[in-house]
Amino acid sequence: MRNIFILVFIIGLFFLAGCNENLKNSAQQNTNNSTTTSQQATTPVDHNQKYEAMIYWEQQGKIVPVRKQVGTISELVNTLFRGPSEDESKSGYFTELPKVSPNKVILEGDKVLLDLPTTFYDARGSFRVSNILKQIVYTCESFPGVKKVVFLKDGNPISVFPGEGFVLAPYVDKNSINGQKGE
Amino acid sequence: MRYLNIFLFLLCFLLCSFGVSNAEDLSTVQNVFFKTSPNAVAVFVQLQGEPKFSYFRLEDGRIVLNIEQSRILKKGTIMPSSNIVSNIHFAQNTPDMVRVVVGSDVKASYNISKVDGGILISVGSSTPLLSLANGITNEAPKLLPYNYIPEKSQLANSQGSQGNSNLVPNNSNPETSQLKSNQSSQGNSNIYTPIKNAKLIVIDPGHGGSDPGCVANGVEEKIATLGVALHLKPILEKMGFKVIMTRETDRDVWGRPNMPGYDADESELQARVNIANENGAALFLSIHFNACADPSVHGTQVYYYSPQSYKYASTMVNDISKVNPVYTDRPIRRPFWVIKYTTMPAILIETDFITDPSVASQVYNSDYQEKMAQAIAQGIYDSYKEIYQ
Repeated sequence: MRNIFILVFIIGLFFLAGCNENLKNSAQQNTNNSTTTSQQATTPVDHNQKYEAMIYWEQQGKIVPVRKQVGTISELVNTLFRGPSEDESKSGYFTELPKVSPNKVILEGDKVLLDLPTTFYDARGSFRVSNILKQIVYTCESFPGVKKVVFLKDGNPISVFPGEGFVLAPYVDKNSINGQKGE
Repeated sequence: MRYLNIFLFLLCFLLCSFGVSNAEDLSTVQNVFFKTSPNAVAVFVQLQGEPKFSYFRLEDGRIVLNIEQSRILKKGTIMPSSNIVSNIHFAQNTPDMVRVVVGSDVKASYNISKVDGGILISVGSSTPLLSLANGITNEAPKLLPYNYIPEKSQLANSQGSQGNSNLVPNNSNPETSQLKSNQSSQGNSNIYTPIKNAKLIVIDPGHGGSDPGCVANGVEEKIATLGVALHLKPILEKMGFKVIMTRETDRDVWGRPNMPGYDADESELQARVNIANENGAALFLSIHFNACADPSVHGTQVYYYSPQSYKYASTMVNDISKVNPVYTDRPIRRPFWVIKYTTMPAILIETDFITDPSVASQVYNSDYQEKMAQAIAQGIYDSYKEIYQ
């Protein structure tokens, strides 16, 4: 009889330990949620203020900057995706970016979350893909406070640009474009 | 209380005996052998134990054999150099299932049958190729195991012992102790001394199948990369190298379903990496053609990632520059998947820009492909000697 009590007692201990673990997980989840919430707070932007930034085009295969005044990162990125103006094209500026519009541009701390449609990722050629990424990343990094770009495909994380396989995860910055991350 | 103790003891005994009986039911895949005839290939999966298996065929022609309740001693890949079967992969797919995948022409008939000592996969015949299989099973005890990572120079010997002359590198003719490259039309008089016991080179023709790569001026990159690669393979073999291509036709290297743990794009790239890593390649080369919005941009680019690949990339730039303009006269470092995750010196060549109409008009041309292949082969030859000799 005493053994049965001991057995029940041990089972009870295991049960309590499990509950405690659940509590811990729940607490951890709450912590994670609060972290996520704080990360989602975007950098406050004064919409009346204009920022000095650069749009990067391609000229004779090289990436070259053109000065712009913009109000928000979205405005900057959308201008980039619209391509060079008629005057800029006459001056020999090209863009390697496919003719698509970003789904979303979100500024989160020092990161730009750039959600692009699937067709954006149809571009091929190492030179072309490298210059696409350079145009986007250099342009975004010219906006105050931006240090990296996180690429998304229709709202989902994407780890690699298909085809040649430029590694995009976890984010792309000037160093990772040149393969220098983690060195 | 006594009854409770007896009950617990019996429960433990039952659980243990169930586990033991399960372990005893496992069959063991000991090795995989193959033999070719002009129109058929017999693949013999040597097994210890009673096999329980199922099989199906994928849309691209791959035959998938699942051997349930089984373990494999060593996973592996065989490239039989046959028109009917492109490759044979065998590995532990799940902890209790071995999977054998035979890459075959979709039009080729096939048969899978249990035979004495294992399972026979017959490709090119709807009935078991028993006569061919008898050859394998008779020879099996004398054959060297077909290991996943071939030892130096052992691969050619083991292939030779399997009686498959297709697999012996074309360097055994004493008259070819000094081979002149067939670049006479290009005015190039390179003399190759065939490398003795040369290691494996993996050539990866970029894109393929569902991914056309760059498309410009009526040219599809996947066709042009394959053309150069198919010219390159025999040149390297004449130099004494063993060569594996990640694809020899216009197809996806992996296809569907996705590789476990990878999405579709990653699977396609990782499959190429796996071929190089798991076969112990000495050098890896991915061939591509480039694109640029400015149609006047042209010339070759060579990419590398790991520091150990720099010398290889640098030598390649130097050798290619003798036959084609280079857009960038030094190697470029970029994190492309296939050169980042391969473990040996690895480079990605962008042969030229097909967005330049004058380049695009040549890339399907056999002479152009041969010229580029000769230059790339020279780059591999020189790099190999620098790195390994």
